[in-house]
Amino acid sequence: MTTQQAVQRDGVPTWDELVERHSARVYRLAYRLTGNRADAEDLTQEVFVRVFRSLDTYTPGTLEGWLHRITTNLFLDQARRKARIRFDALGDEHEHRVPGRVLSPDHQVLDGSFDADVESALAALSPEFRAAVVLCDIEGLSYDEIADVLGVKMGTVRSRIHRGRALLRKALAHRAPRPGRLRYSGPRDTVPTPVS
Amino acid sequence: MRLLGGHLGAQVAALVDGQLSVADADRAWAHVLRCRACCGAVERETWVKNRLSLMSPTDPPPELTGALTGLGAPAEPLGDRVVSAWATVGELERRHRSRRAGLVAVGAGSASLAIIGIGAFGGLLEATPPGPTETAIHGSTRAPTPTAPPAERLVPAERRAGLGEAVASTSPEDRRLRR
Repeated sequence: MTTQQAVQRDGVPTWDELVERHSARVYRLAYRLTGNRADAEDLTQEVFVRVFRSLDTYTPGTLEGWLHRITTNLFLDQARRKARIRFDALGDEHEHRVPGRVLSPDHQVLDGSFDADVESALAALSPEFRAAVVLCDIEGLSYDEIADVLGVKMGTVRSRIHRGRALLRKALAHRAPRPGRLRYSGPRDTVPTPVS
Repeated sequence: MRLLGGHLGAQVAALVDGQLSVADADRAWAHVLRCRACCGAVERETWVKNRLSLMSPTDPPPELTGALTGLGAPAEPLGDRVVSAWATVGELERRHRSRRAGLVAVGAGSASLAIIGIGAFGGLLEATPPGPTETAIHGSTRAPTPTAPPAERLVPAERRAGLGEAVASTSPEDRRLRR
């Protein structure tokens, strides 16, 4: 890093600092959204290209929200484009009922770890539900912030999170307690099993 | 907005995420405590939320950071870019010229070698009668190789084309093909 690059101007981080501080975070969000490493790398690169082009419009203090917005919206744009190509004949109303992406063989051959199961279930959600759930439960954003990132109303955010979690729970139903396993890891029926 | 019977519906998510106002949250919890269905819904949604938040983070590959840092590398000024582009063109032309010269030299060398070779073989053919030489060389240890007559093996193709019309036209395979 050169001295010139290291100098901070009016609170605007240098490019190297920006990459160093935020690339891992952007990549993790991209990975949770896309569900695989190659797409996550592509998305991260695209996010930073956008950031690089728009650095002159950057206002200090808004960087994290900005990165969330760019990453999520780029992901949703790409997912919608793919969905249009794939499901053109079905129309918009089917968007929420059709899985967001076809599971690749490496997702189908799970290694048995819990993370792999959750990742797989997450990848099967539609992009809109996935984005809402990931921003809430993994990124820890409030409903206000998610509504801002996604450009939708608070009620829509709440509904997407609720329905997304319900679909995840169904996908993880095989983790339900059964004879010989007391730990509560996902109810199969509507009557919950109390936590022991 | 509450559903019929005061059930929470999608508000379960807001309750689990702590996104309700204090008054709304109190009302919602009061309902959850006496409603088995909503209690189950809260429990299930909390479980999914916890599972997601417990997922181990995935680190980016190290080369990605390098590629991203490279995006911000200062671009060469236009004047320098033009100069370096012309330097590249000059270098390519220089390489092309030297390669062409090399090819001409190699071509000329091959042609002279071919002429010398023809001359040498021709001289050899004229100087030494083929049959006895072969016999002299191989005669003591083994029989002469029957695959081809010695003259055919020693005479270059160009000369054979001239002399060997008769030989070629008389070979059994050729006769078969011509029929």
